[in-house]
Amino acid sequence: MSRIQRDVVILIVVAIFIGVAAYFAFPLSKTNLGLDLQGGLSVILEAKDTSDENFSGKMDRAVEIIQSRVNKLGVAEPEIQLQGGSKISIQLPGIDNPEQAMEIIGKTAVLEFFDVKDFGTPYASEAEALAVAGVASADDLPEGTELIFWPVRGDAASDQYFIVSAEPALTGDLLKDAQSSFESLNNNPKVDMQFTSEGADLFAQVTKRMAETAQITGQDQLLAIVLDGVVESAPRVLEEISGGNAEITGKFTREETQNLALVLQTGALPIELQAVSQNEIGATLGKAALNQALLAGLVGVALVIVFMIAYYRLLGVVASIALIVYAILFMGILNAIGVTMTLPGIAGMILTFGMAVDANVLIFARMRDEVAAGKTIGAATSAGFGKAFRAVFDCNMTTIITAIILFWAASGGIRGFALTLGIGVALSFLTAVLVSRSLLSVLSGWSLFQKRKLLGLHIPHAKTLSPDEGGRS
Amino acid sequence: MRVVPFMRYKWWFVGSLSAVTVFAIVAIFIVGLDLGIDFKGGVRMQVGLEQEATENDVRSVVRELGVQEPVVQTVKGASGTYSFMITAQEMDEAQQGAVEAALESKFGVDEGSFAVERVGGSFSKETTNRAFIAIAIAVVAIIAYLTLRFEFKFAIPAIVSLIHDVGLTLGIYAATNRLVTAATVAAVLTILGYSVHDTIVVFDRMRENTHLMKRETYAEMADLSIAQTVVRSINTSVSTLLPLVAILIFGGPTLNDFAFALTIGVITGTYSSFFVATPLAVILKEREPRYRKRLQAAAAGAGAAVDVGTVADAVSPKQGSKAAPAAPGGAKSNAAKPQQTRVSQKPKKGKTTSKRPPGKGAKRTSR
Repeated sequence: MSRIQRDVVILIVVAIFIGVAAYFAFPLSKTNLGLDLQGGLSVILEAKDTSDENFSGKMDRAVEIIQSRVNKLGVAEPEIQLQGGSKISIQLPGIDNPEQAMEIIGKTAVLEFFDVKDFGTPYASEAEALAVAGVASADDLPEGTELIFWPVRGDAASDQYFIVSAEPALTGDLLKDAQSSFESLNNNPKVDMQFTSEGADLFAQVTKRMAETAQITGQDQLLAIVLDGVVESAPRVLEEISGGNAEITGKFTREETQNLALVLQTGALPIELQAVSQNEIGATLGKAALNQALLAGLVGVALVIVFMIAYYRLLGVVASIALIVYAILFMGILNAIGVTMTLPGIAGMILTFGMAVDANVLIFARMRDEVAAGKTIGAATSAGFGKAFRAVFDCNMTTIITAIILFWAASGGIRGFALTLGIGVALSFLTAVLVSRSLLSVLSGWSLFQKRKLLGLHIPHAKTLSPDEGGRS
Repeated sequence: MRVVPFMRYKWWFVGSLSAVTVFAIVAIFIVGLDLGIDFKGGVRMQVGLEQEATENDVRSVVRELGVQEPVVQTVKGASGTYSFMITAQEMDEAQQGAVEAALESKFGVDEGSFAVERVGGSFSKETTNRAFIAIAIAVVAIIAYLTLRFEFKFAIPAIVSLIHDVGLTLGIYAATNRLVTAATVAAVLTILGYSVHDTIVVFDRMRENTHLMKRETYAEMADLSIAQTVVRSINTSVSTLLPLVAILIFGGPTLNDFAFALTIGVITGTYSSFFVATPLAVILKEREPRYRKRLQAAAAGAGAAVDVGTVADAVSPKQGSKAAPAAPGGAKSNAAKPQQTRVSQKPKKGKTTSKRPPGKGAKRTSR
């Protein structure tokens, strides 16, 4: 196969790739946009205690639970991933109510029912509770009991303290379902819960025992309902409750009961998580950022093309074609593998438009050297590509290496930058070398492509240059 | 093509630019970098207000709600007409809600142009650590790669020039009080990868010229290599700067940060490859016995003059190492009887202005 035939084949293959890429790339609105471009909420949760046994299993389970909570929130295309073992990254694009989402996704939602150990009313302060128990500090409490706190909403003065058995009588694991509803008496929002059959039996047992104790002692028996270590309510138990239904009342708002019902439905997180980074972006802001970035990209590409054609004439045109081929292939690849485009990602892409033609600049400069040294255009082309290759390769490699390191080190949107930079430089290396080379070779038959001046291979301001004197530059 | 004997002033270049680097680094430590919440933790809130407000209006609203030392800046080019960035190291979610509500009641908040970023202390520490580790790995990786592809004596100058580029970039950040964000670190890493390009281009030519120029001093060869590559290096930098300038002008406030650091890095990367990396490489290489010998020979024959023009002749591609018997042959015979042959060639040249013995270029070709 002759050189030209080979180049024709290469171009045909590239054309097929362009077709496939264009299918994936267009319309550009298909591209997944990151939160910074469409608005939304991004949160990174980190486990508070990583020394837990079966830690990674618990993290996996936590991801599943958060996933189901997010699904119940009705967010389109959420992204929830484990990050580096102890972190969970959550991306919720286009969310209306980020505060609610924060309330829900990170809530541990450990529900516990405690048998309150003291008799009579709860204590008004920690000191009082400890005094009654006859100990100096919470650490000295009798084995099997502990002090818990009930912050009464909106009224710090009426905070209450309880001493309870340390082992919860019942936990949220035994819940089957939960819903938000209203108290029939005063229409206050509340949460209804249904236990599983095992839970229902246990709940009946516990309440039966407490009711009996109340009858014998004549003292009210309280069942403290504790969510994430905080007492939500502490109803009196008057009789055995069978049938497996329970409710949490309190001074909740409607939204709070809905959130609570939701987290109870999805179960408690097996591990306590806290938000270490949180980013919330308004939709208009994202849209504006996208438009600005796109404008910058278009202007950037236009400037590069104008520069290349002004300086290298027809060769510049070839480089520009290679650049456009690169852009289409790049968008195709990004959309085909489903990369989410972030604002820094677009910045990386725009930057690669400038770097992509660097290879052509180096190659064309070599071609000028060769032509100046008296070579024919054809010979100069192959020598130019051949001799520039090493430098072009090394240059691209250093950028790819740093992009890989950055991808490893970065989080969030910056990863998008590393990704587009890395993929872009690797791909543009192919297009700048392969596509422009084959194009030049195929076009070399055309008389226009035999004119040094049109090709930009003439030597500007050259006075005289005898062939035997020609040097390289 | 004029070969400028830059390498005669190699110590001058290396010295003065090292001084610049040191100065920049000292400035970074004295003035300090203005680290963003990515590295210190805290809250950054962007609000678009519907009614006119000044930075002071917003600041007093935020202060009244008990937020310590809030930094309020006007955001240019953001969507809302009156956009502000409020940064504070401590602002809990309740305070954040109160700030939002207060601004809403006073000036009206455009919901869509609201953004909050909250970074926890431990997370920011990790970001900082990772930034340092990433930069360290990048430096080592570049040294390793250049050692593999070139040699260690080329890797060191390349890294020194990168330190100049990054030091100057961060120095400018310190001097102008620009906020350093995670994007800045990404830009610094990109500078590490990109600024070395021009150095690779000139070193690649030096590597090639070493095989073709068997007699000249290393400095002469380096000067020729610079002359041969300077225009293309500037062109690659220009082609990369053009999109960066487009981002600086049109890209909006977030990308501005990327583009600013990269723009400085690309510019410094271009000249530092010629005035830091190349002179340093010459200094290192001229310690090798064979180049020291050439240097001594050149010094001995100083009166006789070595013309880089002739050097370029020997190196011209048509007589390249493979194809042409003339160059190697010439080089060999030259090596056998130093200096004289070459001097005798001089009159053939178009220009003969070699008043300064070594390295005065008399060649012109393309770029």
